[in-house]
Formats: sequence, structure tokens, C-alpha cells
Amino acid sequence: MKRALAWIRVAVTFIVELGKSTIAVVRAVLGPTERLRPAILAVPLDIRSSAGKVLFANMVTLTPGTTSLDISPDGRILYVHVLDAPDRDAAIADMKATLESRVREVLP
Amino acid sequence: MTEILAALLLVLGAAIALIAAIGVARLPDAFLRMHAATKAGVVGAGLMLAGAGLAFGGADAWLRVGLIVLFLLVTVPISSHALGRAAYIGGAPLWPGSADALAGVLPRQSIDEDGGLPILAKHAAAMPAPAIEAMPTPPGGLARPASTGGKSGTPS
Repeated sequence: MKRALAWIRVAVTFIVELGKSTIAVVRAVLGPTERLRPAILAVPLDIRSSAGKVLFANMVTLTPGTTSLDISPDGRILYVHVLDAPDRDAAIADMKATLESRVREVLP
Repeated sequence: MTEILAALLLVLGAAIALIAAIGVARLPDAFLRMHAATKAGVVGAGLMLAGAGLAFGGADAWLRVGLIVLFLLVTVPISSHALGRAAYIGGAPLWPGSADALAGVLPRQSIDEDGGLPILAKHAAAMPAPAIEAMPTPPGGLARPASTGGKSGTPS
């Protein structure tokens, strides 16, 4: 029962993030492209299970504005391309706080 | 009422798909274009499918809509990830000013500086460029026809 609730929370977080970042992509496309600050960021992972990493990487890719590009061979760092990251540390912290913490509740 | 909601969903989904297409044309580098193409595409398709589910109604239609969305969610990130990784290793130029935490982690092929694909530049150099010879050529001017020719061959 607790697990089911956690999964529902993952789904809800995902849909909210999907909505928010779709708006971000629409603004990026229709606004001036010169102002974008894209970046490839190294996101340190706290998830240890392979299934959790796959779920996190897929969710990162599916939310527009971030695409996972590669994972380090030891599986501790996920490399993510971010559409617009004026503040890199904040972007990493945001990804970890919203998506990763939810994923860790279902697949540690 | 249902019809109006279905129509709204269809129009919204189509609008997002259109914006995604504009993004593919407008955004400056391969990675940015992928953001628009793959994922806004999923949202657009999802909304349109939801609209179609509403319009047709019935468990049968919703089952199909659910399955299509499920398969989209499972397959799109994998293709996007593979494309992005391949673009990076293949040396697709990054928009200037991008931070690159992957530098030195993944091997990266180099592409000549003006961003044209080497094979296209070679192709352009093999073609005669008579118009240039009539103009007073600045130093290094002879190298230009090849590069501009290479550029016109690539979508910008």
C-alpha cells in the first residue's frame, strides 16, 4: 500500500514536471534563442539500483529541457544536457530534489 | 461538452507538435533541437491521443490510447538518449557558451571549425566556383567558397 502511494507520487511529480518543462521549451522555441544557456551537467547519483537509474534517466529525458546523454561506467554520475541553465548548481539541485528523491522512494 | 473538450485537446496537442517542429528549425545546435523534437512531441502526441480517446469513447479506445502512450513513454527516451550520445561522440558542435561536463569523459570526433560536415566541404571544394574569381579576393579568400558551399549544404 505504501509502495503504491509512492508510485503514484512518482507519476504525479512526473506529470507536473512534464507540464512545467513543456512550457519552458515552448518559451525557449518562441523566444530569442541567443539568451539560452545550454549546458552538459554531471549529476551525481544517489540511486544505487539499476532499475532506479533507468527510471531516473528516462524521466530526465522525457521532461523537456533535460536529456540524459551518458552514464559513467561506475554508474555514479549521469551526464545531462540542459536546455537552459543560467545557474548550473541550481539546475542539478532541482533535478535531484524533484525527480531523484521521488524515484528513490520506489527504487532505491 | 465531451466534444468540445476533445476538440480542445486535439488543437492543443497539434499546437505543441507545431511548436516542436518550429523548434527543430530554429534552435541552434543538435542537442537543443532534440529537446524540442523528441519530448514536446510526446506531450503533443499524448494530448492528441487523449482527445481521440474522448472523441471515440469506450473502454476499447481508452485501452488503445493507454497502450500507445505507454509505448511512447518507454521508447522515446531511449531513442533520444542514443541519438544524443551518438551526436556527442560524432562531434556535433555545441552552441557556444555551453558548459561541457562530458569533455574528456567520452571520445569526441572533431568536425571542421565552421560546423560543416567534412564530407560536404570536400564535395564543395571539388566543384568549380567561377563567380568568386571575378571578385578581388582578400587573403585567404580562396578558402571561402569551399566553406560557404559546405554550409549551404547543411541545414542551418
